[in-house]
Amino acid sequence: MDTTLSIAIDVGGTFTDVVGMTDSGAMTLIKVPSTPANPSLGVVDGMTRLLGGTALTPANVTRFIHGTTVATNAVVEQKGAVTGLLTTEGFEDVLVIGRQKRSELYNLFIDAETPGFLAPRRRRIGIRERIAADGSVLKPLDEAGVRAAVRELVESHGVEVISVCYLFSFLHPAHEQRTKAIIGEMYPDLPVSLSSAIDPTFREYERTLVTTFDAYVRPKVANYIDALEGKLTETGVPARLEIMQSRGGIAAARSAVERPVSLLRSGPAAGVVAAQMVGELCGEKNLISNDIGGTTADIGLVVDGKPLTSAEGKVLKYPLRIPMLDVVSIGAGGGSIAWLDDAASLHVGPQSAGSVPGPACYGQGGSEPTVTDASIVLGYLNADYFAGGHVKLDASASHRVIEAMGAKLAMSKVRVAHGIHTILNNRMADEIRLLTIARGYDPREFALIVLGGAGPLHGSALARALRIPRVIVPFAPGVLSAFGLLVSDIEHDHTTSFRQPASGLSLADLAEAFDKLDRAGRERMRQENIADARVGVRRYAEMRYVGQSYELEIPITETFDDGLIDGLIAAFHEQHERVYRQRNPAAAVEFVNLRTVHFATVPKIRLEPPKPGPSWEKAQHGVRSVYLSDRDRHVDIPVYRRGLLPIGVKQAGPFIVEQLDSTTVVLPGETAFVEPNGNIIVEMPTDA
Amino acid sequence: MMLNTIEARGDSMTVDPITLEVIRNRLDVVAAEMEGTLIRSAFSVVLKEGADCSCALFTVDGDTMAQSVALPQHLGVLAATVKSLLRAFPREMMEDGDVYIMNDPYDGGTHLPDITALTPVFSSGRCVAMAASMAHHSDLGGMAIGSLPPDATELFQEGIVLPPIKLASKGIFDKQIFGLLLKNVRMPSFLEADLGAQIASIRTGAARFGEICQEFGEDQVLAYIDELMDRSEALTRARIAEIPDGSYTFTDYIDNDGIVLDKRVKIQATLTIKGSDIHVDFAGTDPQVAGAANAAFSHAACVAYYCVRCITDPSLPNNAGCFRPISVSLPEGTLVNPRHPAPVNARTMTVCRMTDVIFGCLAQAAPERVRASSSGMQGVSFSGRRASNGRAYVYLELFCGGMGARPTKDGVDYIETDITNMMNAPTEAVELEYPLRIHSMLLKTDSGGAGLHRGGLGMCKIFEVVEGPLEVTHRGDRHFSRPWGLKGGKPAMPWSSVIKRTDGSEHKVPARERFTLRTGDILVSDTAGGGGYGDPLSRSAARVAHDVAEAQVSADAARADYGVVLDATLQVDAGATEALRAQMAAERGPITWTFDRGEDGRD
Repeated sequence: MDTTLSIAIDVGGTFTDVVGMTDSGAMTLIKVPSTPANPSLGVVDGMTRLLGGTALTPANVTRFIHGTTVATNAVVEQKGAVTGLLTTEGFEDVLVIGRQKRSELYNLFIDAETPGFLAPRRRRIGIRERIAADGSVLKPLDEAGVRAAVRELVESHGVEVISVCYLFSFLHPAHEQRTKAIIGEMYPDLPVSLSSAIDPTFREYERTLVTTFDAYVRPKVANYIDALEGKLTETGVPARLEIMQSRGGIAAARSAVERPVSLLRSGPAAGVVAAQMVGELCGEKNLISNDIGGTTADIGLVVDGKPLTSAEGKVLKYPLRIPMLDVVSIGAGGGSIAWLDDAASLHVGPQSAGSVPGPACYGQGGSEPTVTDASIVLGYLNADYFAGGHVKLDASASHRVIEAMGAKLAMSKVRVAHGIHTILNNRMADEIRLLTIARGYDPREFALIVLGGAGPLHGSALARALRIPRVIVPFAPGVLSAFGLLVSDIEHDHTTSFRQPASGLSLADLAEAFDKLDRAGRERMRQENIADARVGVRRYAEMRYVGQSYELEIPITETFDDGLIDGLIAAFHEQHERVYRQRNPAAAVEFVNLRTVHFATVPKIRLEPPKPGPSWEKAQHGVRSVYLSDRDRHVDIPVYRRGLLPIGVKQAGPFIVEQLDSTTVVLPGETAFVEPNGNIIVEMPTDA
Repeated sequence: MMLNTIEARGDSMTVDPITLEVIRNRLDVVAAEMEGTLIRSAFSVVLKEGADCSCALFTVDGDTMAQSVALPQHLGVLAATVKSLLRAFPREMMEDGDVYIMNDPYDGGTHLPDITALTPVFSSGRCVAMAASMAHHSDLGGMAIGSLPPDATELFQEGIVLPPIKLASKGIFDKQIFGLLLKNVRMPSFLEADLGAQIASIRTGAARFGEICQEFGEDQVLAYIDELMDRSEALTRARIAEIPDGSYTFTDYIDNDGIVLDKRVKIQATLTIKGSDIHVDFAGTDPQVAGAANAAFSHAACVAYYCVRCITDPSLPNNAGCFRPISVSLPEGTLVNPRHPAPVNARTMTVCRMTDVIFGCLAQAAPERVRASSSGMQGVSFSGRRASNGRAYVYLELFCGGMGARPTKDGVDYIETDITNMMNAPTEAVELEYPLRIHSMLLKTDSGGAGLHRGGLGMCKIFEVVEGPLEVTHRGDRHFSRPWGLKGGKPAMPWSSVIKRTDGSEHKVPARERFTLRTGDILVSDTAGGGGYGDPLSRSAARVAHDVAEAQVSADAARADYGVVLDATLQVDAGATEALRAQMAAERGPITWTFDRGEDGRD
């Protein structure tokens, strides 16, 4: 049989990463410039260039998996579709009123906290209809009103997509469904997002928000997917396009376009999935992943071999209720700017120099010191071997801007540079504390896995701040996210509102509700041509104490028998104690939502083991003068080329490992070795 | 240890800016984690959705080291209760695991539902700090469910008063005190759980601060915290010093005291800036009132702190250094410093107006730093017992309104401003839990004051009672005065609440009132907008046309307030607009006033 090739393409702001893997495990990695104006061009170009380096043709491509920022960019740049919003009459302003709270207390010059830009007042129209809190119909749907409203939105306001969010539609979706049917009769090509389909759970502002964001990005995502699929077919690729979702699972592009909002946080998800896979190769089930790029650090958690998920996250400053991997993004990266306030206190970020002008050493006019400039001053980065020597850095500019800041602080430039790193590392450590300790996890029981071009520069220092015993530097930290696309399961999640007191709940009712979700999940998988036998399901119940308004997600691992509900209640109390340090055994517990995740695992990837290098000595490529804080001076330490490192041989720090897409710093007291799959394991000193 | 080591030797310490920044960020994270713990593990809606709580770390002397972003109304108030707890229980007596509580408004507290809980923080056997939280509890007994009777005439009707009490000794709770508390409230399981959430949060704070001390050394941490306070003070003083020295006086009013409904109550303050010091004297304020609108003494400092934070550097960490340049005088026996046992539960509207008074003073000194008057807030609680199971419920609707316009931009529509910062409850959450139906909640056209920069809009929300009878305690203000405009900006529309009975009768709620609603009765609540800033005749006609298209301004108001004439398609009629604006400017004459209060005149 012919060689089959899986291709994964991750489009970032500046670069597009392309990974190809054959069925025998041979892997090719390339980086091509992104083409933001027409992103599908860059994707096809990436594939063509990858194939050019092999003997294969598009006909060999049997999987084509894609991580895209098309949806995210539409939101960030506020360039989504002209969106109309239909609401229950009297609730047209829910989108603007929001939850009324402000995020800055003492700033009198704040802007609105809600995204009114999605649909300004004239494009929000109330419809006469009303469902009651028990799901009964109080006021039937005014169909003539729907027709008039839709006509006005389209004819007078040029609306390209409609979002529909009626009160209590999660209990009784008939009015929303009928509205969609009417729109379909009037304008068959006009896309529609229904809140009862996108996010059928209570709290109308949050539901309106996610549904309207869904509508806002829908036409862009659909057009993009259409264009890309067309190009792939043209090129002769037999594979059907697959897309990464925010929750870290893959879906057929055809399914993804039915809920495009689920793509909004897919960028950081691939990194966590890749981290999980690398952790598995290294025998680590509990991981903190930190993907440090130019502007942000994306921090995620893998617990017991599974990435933590969340039912809500943030896109820009808006709380968006979509299932996503629990990844926190903070303004901390190589481009983060160091600055002094009026009392000469030193701060780092969240402002970033980005890629334009970039750090001072980019020589593009950046005049403020950044974290990357500090890395140059410390000797961590080699100005002549940045991105494998493809980008020349101006080290003197880094020294100049850091020196100038040192003059204001009466500190040496080296101390300032080390201070910038210390502040950044501690800010990331603070965030990790909120993600772990604040939720009852002990970071000392985790391994830290560092991704992104800048990740391996900061891994050791970060691990020491948190007493994390091991750091994993993956084989290709700079392009690992694309790799995550290859190894992610195909997943579909379904949620239903299920407000029931736990005591007295009948097992049959619970089973019936899950059955409905199960049918929906399997149907979706069948649409993607995935046989029932391949499909597994994970079930979750979102539960809380009666009177509370935040839920905890309790996984259902047992079979549906008489002990199940009591078991879930007990598991809820336990989880509550772990997360919130208190439980109330006497209080009544209720179910709020039920969720299923249907998954189909993709064929296991067999990585071709790396060719072991002869020895550390042979891998050495000179020495570099690097600042070591314990000696408080620059010291010449060895620099190794990653591709030449031996397998399984320990080497004591301090030293530096350089590779095309990243630089790893190993500090004194630490030892490191390459495990058989090519990942570097750095072991921290036990007394650190 | 990766951090630079710093030598702390007595009073001469070398400050390492790196360690300083690391510790500053850590303190903020601890405060945020305390707050998150409290809100997430609380039971009652007022805490979970309303976030009516605050968490902070204090020095052993009760000075704020770090406070979570929650509610400015708790700024400095939490510190007052911590100081009173420390007076009652000197720290030498405190032991690891102790928990202390209090709520007495005459000893630093706010009103009775707000309980402060405090635990000492120990590191290496030494008491190094205090962790405290304040939270609004659903019911603390007294004459009304929810403990907020607007018609109370003495403190004892408002609920159970807690002097400083030791609730737990070395981690062991005093069951008798708990028992006494729980027997005196209507929803004991809520009090127990919410107090549990408060205690979880202060224990979290104590554990985390202890870890910071272990990592950096207690002496070094405390020395750096002193340094952080000094820097906050220096930055605050630098911004105050830029304002011209002088004394500025401003007067504003609350609608009534909840008992005598047709008599306004005056609040007056004189703010004096001298160099980098600010002194606020509330002399001229009316005597204390019979009703519950009195504000316990700790609020005045809170308001002064809040206003100064807003006009200096809002990004500074919240610590006692920010407050050092500020002093406050309060004449005894007045609305802002009542004598025991005057009732105090409905003080929030008074505190909102005190904020307006101080901003009114500052508007004369530094108009480029302040906003026109914002809407203020209103708390309306619906309470009763469910027919099905007899269980008591309280639903507290916390309204806000439009933000006052700023010197450079419009006010934000319907958003929390000034000293309050609550979340509303979703309509779906309300209807699922309580026997109420909400008919609509819509932004109110023309409710924001006209101006070069327009005030933010208030809203109109309509409630229907599905299962009566239920009792309503309505605590509002600015129903009979308007949020003022600044420098030519017009005042906003005031608040209004109207009851529509099933028999067709109507009743306008006089801002503060307790009443019963029956099945089918309707309450229509209009919330105020924010005042305008600058001459409305200078607002670009295109902006006004956009406001009209967005239903923020009506076509009539565009003409009457802004002198903008629109045609049938809402396009600006440039010629007619120019003529009308010239005529209006001539009739009005030059703007010689700073404040526009509508019917109450200009000054």
